[in-house]
Amino acid sequence: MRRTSLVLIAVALSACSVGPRPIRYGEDECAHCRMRIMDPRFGAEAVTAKGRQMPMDSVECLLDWVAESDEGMRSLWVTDYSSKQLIAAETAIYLESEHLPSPMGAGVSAYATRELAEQALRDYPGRLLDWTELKASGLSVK
Amino acid sequence: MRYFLFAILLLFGAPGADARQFDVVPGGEGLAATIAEASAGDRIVLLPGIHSATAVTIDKPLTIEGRPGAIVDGGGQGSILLVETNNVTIRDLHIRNTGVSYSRDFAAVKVENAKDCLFENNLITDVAYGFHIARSSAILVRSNTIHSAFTDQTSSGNGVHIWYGNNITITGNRITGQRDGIYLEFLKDGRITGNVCEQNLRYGLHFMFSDRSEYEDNVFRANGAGVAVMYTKNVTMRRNRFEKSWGGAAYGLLLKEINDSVVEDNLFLDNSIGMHAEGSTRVKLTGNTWDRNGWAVRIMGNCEDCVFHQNIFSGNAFDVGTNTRRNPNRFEGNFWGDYRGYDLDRDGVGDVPYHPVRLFAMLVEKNPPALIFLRSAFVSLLDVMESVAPALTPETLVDEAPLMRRPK
Repeated sequence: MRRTSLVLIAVALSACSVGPRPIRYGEDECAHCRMRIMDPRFGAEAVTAKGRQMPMDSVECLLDWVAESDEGMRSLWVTDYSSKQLIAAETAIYLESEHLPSPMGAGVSAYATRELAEQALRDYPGRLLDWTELKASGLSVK
Repeated sequence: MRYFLFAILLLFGAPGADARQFDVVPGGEGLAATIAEASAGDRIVLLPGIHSATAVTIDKPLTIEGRPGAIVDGGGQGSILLVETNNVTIRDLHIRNTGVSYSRDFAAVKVENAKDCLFENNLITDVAYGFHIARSSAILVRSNTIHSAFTDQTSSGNGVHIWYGNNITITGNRITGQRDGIYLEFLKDGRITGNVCEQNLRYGLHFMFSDRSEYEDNVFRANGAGVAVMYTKNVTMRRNRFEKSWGGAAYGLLLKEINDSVVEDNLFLDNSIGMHAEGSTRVKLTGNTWDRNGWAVRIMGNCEDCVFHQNIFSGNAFDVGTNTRRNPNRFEGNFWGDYRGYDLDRDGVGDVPYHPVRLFAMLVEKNPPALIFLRSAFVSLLDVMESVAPALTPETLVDEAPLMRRPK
């Protein structure tokens, strides 16, 4: 009985956990540009204060969507280009490069660490930005 | 004038005068070696049989063509032909088997920084990308057949892919089984005509940031998500067929942030959503037919000054859906299959305005699962009450001059 109720509580807690959900590539629609999300190197996601999980196809769509939304944000997520895992947007390092096209034209990719970003910068000349610099950069869906 | 022509001849040499022809036999010294030996203006003919080629660079103006039965096989590794100069023609070849990669764009024909090239009558099979064309201009892609059988959308590529281009024409191609049939990003002055894009995994046509481009007389049928035309001004879309896009995020035509454009004489047949428009302004929609769609048109509140005139709506579950009561767009003089008005003065125009947004469509917009009540008697009753006294549907979204008969 106790075990059952523990399990139930765990289930209940996990049900209202407010992390991002995995993006279903090839199925989900981008909450901003409405396109079907295809490229697993670039997906992004916003979790709103209400707990809505909004998948997007690129960092540039995430920036635009957050700027236009009047809802509070609980957390923002971007995809680490190398591992294709979702990572926190605030701590990621971003590469803007015209040699690495991203889904909505801004040429932005995200990396879990500065080392990974610098490695990518050698292959795709451009500039590195942190989250604050990225938001101030004015980069958006072109 | 005569002197001028003479000067041109002096500059470039009489065409064909000293051009040589090289025949390449399968398994011989190969295409790459022949290209090295050839000089500008020469013709290379591949004889029937299988020619292995991986990342063969074409770095001088040449014509490369195949006799029937000539196959260029990439062996599943990387790209096959790389065009890196102007005035290249590739025709009558069967090109097949590129590599497949999540991070590299492997193509049957990869073109970069080129001008004045012609690619025609090629058969291209089992490739990530068919033609991958970047930073190029004055390119003609004509009458090619591109077909692959990918099931994994994320590693597949597009049939014809343009990334930064000028003055590019894509015409008479048939593209199936790719990710997007035709993909345009940053193309200015593009013409996409008479292509058939069918059963591609995502879009038949993906069209983004491509001002002053037109697409006409194409057929887009049964592609995973339909056609997307986005973030562009001055687009002309005429006489296309948008057919059989079924599913959650599937639209016959998705218009997003499209300004000052024309949608004319198209047919939207048998789609979940015939056309979805958001953030679009000053789009003229004339002479189109929406037949047998779930929603014919969904037009979001952030669209402005879009004008629907002389269109035909028939057999759709919903003619028009929207997400707001505010309506800054105009519907005037369309034919509505569900119109029940009369025409006492017999001028061909109904005397009673038509409200194409059903109350039920507004409810479904807010609460999609309510769709299961589509055929219920109560919903029909609601719709009748709402049409008598609109309370929730947009009051101004109304056709004051509905046509009594289908326009020709």
